Amino acid sequence: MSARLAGLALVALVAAGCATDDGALAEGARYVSDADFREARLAASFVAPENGYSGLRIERYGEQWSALEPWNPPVRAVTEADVGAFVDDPWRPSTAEGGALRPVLGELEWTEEALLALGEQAFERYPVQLADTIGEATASREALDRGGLWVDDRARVGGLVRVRVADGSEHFAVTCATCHARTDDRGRLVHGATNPRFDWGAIAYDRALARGGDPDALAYLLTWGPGQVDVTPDDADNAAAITDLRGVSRHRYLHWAGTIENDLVALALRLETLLITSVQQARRPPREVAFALALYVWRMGEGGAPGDAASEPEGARQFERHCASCHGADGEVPTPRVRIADVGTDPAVGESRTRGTGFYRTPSLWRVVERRQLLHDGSIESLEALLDPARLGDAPGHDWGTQLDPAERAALIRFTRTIGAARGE
Amino acid sequence: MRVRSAWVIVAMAGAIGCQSHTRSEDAGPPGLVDAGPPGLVDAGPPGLVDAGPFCVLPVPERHRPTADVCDMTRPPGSPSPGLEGCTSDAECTDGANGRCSASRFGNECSYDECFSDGECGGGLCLCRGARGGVGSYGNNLCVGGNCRVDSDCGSGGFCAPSLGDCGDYGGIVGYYCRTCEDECLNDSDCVDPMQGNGYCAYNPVSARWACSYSFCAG
Ligand code: HEC
Ligand code: HEC
Repeated sequence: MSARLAGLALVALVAAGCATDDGALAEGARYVSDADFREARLAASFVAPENGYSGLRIERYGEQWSALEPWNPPVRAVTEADVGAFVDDPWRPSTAEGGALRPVLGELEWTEEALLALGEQAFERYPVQLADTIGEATASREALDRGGLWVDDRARVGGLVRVRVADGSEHFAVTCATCHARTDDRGRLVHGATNPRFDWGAIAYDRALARGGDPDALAYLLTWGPGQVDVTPDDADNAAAITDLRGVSRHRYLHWAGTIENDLVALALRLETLLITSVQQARRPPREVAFALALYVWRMGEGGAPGDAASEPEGARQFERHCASCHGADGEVPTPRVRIADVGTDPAVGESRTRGTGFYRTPSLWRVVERRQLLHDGSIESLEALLDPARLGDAPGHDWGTQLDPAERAALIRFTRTIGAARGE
Repeated sequence: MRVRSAWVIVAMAGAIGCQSHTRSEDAGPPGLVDAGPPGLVDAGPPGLVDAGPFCVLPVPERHRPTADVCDMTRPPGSPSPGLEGCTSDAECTDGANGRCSASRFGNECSYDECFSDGECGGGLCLCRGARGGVGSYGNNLCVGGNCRVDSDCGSGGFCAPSLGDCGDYGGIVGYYCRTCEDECLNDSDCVDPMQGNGYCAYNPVSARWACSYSFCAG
């Protein structure tokens, strides 16, 4: 079975409401234990092996990166009590009461339940990238707010952790939850939902300006905008929107630029290699952690139902006519990618020589109603704005549906909002 | 992401030709050297390193032979008329050398955090203007690391300024001893066709200097 078919089979199982999925666990076990399997699946997952992202991995994943030492350092979550506590002495040790992720390696039971628990823990605690610059945004409540860092009902701050490193010093680090989680109206953290306020560029700008940087030379940092991060070392200003992860299993490709053919193992490899490159290739995550994270993220889009044509027949008709050739009302993506020029949105992310493939991937619209920013650059904030012809002057591209009259458009929006949404409670 | 010259310290003319330096034959692949098992790291708090390096280190372009004492004077601030917040330096009275300057949120006060290393706990005082490429009207501030001057790194050692994580725009974040295991000497060692133009920085994860490429996780 091809990787693609395996991925689809998995989606089908998940859609059928299977709580345990032995296929996924078996693939995960193989990913963890079989180097040839990993390398073959990695190579097969790249759409454009010649771009920098893929080339680096093809060259280094096998020998060089598999020789890296697994990293599972002592960490603890940053909490409200830490706000202002590191201003005078940022490198002060404080992780004493914290600990590494547990259990990993030998002790981990290879069950769906145990892996999801580990994945959930890692999502909030595994240090993705050292970020003392972001740590400075914990200087005060005001600074947190300016950087768009949340405080949740457990008093945790922005998904930041303090991590003890090899030389014994301690640093701030970001986790998945810094970018891919936000609080709901009761302060509970929602994993997988983009933090649309997190603004790494602005945090860096404010900091550099306060240190005497030249506002004009630094102005490019403000072009990222909240909810966007420049993730590519490609000499271009091309911040990408932080993707909402609920429904990741339904996209045919990973990354806005469509770099990777998506399936569970490809996702685990994508996360493992992210965690290698973001520490400058000095360590690798334990593979159990990478797979647990992948499985945890893969399961995030569960639940919900296809678009509700019974309640919104007119909207369903419009959707069928203008959208369904690319985005299925059932969350599938019949045309999984589109040439950059044919989409017509800003090309900078798609053309990245690091991640680019010549295409933008067509996102699945499963649970689209929960997304706070749309398109690869997060430039559109709602379905209303996406379909409004008045925006085309400022933000051209993806003009499908913008020609509809107001009543048709309203119906289309009502229908699109039901795709993947929970129903009948 | 684009590497900005604003923070990149201008390379010295006649750069040191010694590219092989101490990326020593016996150091093995990165990550395999001398670190304990994961999760069991038990080193004490960062302190000054007192044993000298057990190799002959080449001279990096940037290092700190002696401690600086910062200039007590600071140029006047530059508030933008019409913005909220302070209107003149005289209103900035919560610290030393208060200056009122424009930020994203209006005009705000900033202060000198220090004038000499002794005021910075375990760290050192980075004087305005001593930061290569950075404007000269900012504030003096304390930064961390594991050394203050070359002699803290043993005889023949170098205490060098390092840029931080996720790109070069954060400016210098700390000073660290160069080590025998370093994978690069200067920024010019860090050009990679697949990863773009990087810079040589201290990587706390591996406790050595290595090439860093300008991108943030995601
Ligand atoms: C600093 C912010 C940041 C952090 C931390 C971060 N991400 Fe992301 N993530 C992004 C951005 C931005 C993208 C979009 C990149 C692209 O498409 O090229 C992304 C993309 C992804 C994707 C691809 C989604 C898709 O549909 O294409 C997955 C999966 C993902 N992240 C999971 C994670 C996990 C799991 C972690 C923690 C190990 C993590 N991310 C940490 C910002 C972040
Ligand atoms: C020819 C294929 C195609 C058609 C037709 C199409 N889309 Fe898209 N859609 C795309 C692509 C490709 C993207 C990603 C573009 C980008 O990021 O710049 C996208 C992005 C989106 C997004 C943003 C999703 C996200 O997560 O950011 C929404 C919402 C959307 N489309 C809705 C629609 C609707 C509603 C219609 C019908 C009116 C429609 N699309 C028609 C290909 C298509």
